[in-house]
Amino acid sequence: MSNDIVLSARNIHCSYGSADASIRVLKGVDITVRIGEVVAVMGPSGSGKSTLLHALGLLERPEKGEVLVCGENGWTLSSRKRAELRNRKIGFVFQFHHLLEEFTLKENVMMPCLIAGYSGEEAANRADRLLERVGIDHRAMHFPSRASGGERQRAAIARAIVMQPDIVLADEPTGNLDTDTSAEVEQLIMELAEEGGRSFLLATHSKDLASAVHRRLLLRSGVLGQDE
Amino acid sequence: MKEKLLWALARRHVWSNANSTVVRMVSILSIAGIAIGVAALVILQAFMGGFTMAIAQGLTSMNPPLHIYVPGGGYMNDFDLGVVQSIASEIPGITGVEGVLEKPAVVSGAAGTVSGAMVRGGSSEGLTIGMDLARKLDVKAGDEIRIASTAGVEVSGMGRVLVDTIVTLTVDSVGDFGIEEYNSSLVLLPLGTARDIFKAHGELTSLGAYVETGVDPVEAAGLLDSALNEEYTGGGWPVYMSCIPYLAFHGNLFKALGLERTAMTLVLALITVVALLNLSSALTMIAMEHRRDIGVLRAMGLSPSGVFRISVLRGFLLGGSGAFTGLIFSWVSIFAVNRYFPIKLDGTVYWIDVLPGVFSVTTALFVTLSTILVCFVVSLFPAFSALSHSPSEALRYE
Ligand SMILES: Nc1ncnc2c1ncn2[C@@H]1O[C@H](COP(=O)(O)OP(=O)(O)OP(=O)(O)O)[C@@H](O)[C@H]1O
Ligand SMILES: [Mg+2]
Repeated sequence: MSNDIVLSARNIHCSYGSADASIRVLKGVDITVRIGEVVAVMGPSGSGKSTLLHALGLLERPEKGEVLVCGENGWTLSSRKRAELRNRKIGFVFQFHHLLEEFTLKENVMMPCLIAGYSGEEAANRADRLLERVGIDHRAMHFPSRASGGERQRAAIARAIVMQPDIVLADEPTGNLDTDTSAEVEQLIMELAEEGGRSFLLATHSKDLASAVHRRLLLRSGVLGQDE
Repeated sequence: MKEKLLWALARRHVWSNANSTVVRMVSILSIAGIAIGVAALVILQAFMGGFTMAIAQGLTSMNPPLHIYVPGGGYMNDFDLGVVQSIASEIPGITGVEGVLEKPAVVSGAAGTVSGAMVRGGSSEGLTIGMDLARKLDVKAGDEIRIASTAGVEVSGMGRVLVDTIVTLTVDSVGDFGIEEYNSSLVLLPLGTARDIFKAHGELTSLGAYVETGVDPVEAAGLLDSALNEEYTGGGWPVYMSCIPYLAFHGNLFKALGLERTAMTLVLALITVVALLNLSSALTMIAMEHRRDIGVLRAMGLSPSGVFRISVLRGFLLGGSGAFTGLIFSWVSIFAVNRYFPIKLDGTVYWIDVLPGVFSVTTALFVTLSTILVCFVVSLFPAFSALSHSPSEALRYE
């Protein structure tokens, strides 16, 4: 396996429900993401994009298959080690910002660093830098409920990359924004991918975002194929 | 840093302006419930304990802590006193033994007043009369009273009662003996005077021994009693004198008070039980409200043990603030009641006039800490259930 691969998965199977009434969502998905690559996973609603991202992000154990994050087999690790791997190597952006409502935008961005055990000062420095980079430093001390949809999603993106992860998994990052705002956020994502040489795996319906990425994959009937 | 982070998360989950009104409401209610439970227990203990203590103090203030008597009610004399004194001098902690002659008598003061009284001759310097008795006889220090003893009573052939021993004495002081019963009946005077009144020279009704401060009277009484026992049985005589701690005379009273205290403690502990049920539903609700947040934190790399500890800390924070609030509240109310709103009692019924609240630090700490401990146990259940869903489930939870 070449060492420019940040994420790879083999033969991922996922299903929901009990044994007799189960829905098989993923039926053997293979995927490889290289350093600096921005990959979009497309597919109709209900095709299993979120399920795939959760399996790749070590959030939900697939029935079958292995997930290698920077060469480490995520699902064979202890849950503590797996949490550490998520903390250091993987960033998440969700369709709904999922910021912690009780914390300011800045505290939200600091959170992964604090979980990693960084000092408050170090975490604050990193958060300040990123908030400025994503253009919401003037909102740092606001609570999520006081920020606009675009500002929240920018904060969520800053939070996803504050630990400088090797890969960011973004599940419809612009799915809940109006057209103009989502264009801005899409541009931000592409810039961040460019700047950091960081890989992104995006689940998206957005044609604009899909047209900007390096590679598009289509999830249909539980398997992943190239999209033209 | 990690611990600090978990604290911060738990704290804001239970207490933040960003929380929904419902969460803030259940937080306040569960804190209030625990606080009331703790306060009720601490206040109860303070007043029940205060009552027992005040009565014990009243009883012991007027009586030597060790009581030496003849089982069966025989008389003692100065020789017996000498025996006990020499035995007691060998026992560490006992400071002295005195003889007492105590008998009922009839007392009269200002014209037309008369009352029954207990006349006690002992180590008293002058004549002290209980304040309620003084009021009844309408006398004050410096006035004269007449004491008629039964020792001189004879019934004549004509059926008339002749009382020939009426002694007139001057009241030196009027005393407050702490307990209603003593205040309304006791007359203290020197042993010699008492013997004159009762025509009982050389005679004693009981002996009392004193102990050094800090010495447990129960223990000292045990030592003296077994020494007395040995003295008689060793010499081949039947046991003549025994020693018991004075409060053992009122053993039944203290047993009854203790039983009442236990029963009331159990009843009031039910408040805490209800408060704990309330806490447990509050914690479940808070956990539900933050289930998705926990999913997000796990996506960011929070370990399962971190999730567990956040859940436990929530219970600890609510329980701890409740217990602490209850502690402060009970201290303040006991202080305020003692200082500004003393609880008046009918002394003729309860022996004491004012019910004192005695805030016991040990009891208060015990109640507070055990409540916090149970809150911790209660929070374990939601903590384990927080571990039961995967991060993905938590994230999808709306
Ligand atoms: N917890 C669950 N229990 C049962 N079925 C589920 C569960 N979560 C998802 N599913 C089902 O699995 C399938 C895939 O869901 P998933 O959310 O991965 O799709 P998606 O591609 O992300 O859709 P969308 O574009 O609407 O977000 C759907 O049919 C959904 O109903
Ligand atoms: Mg989805």
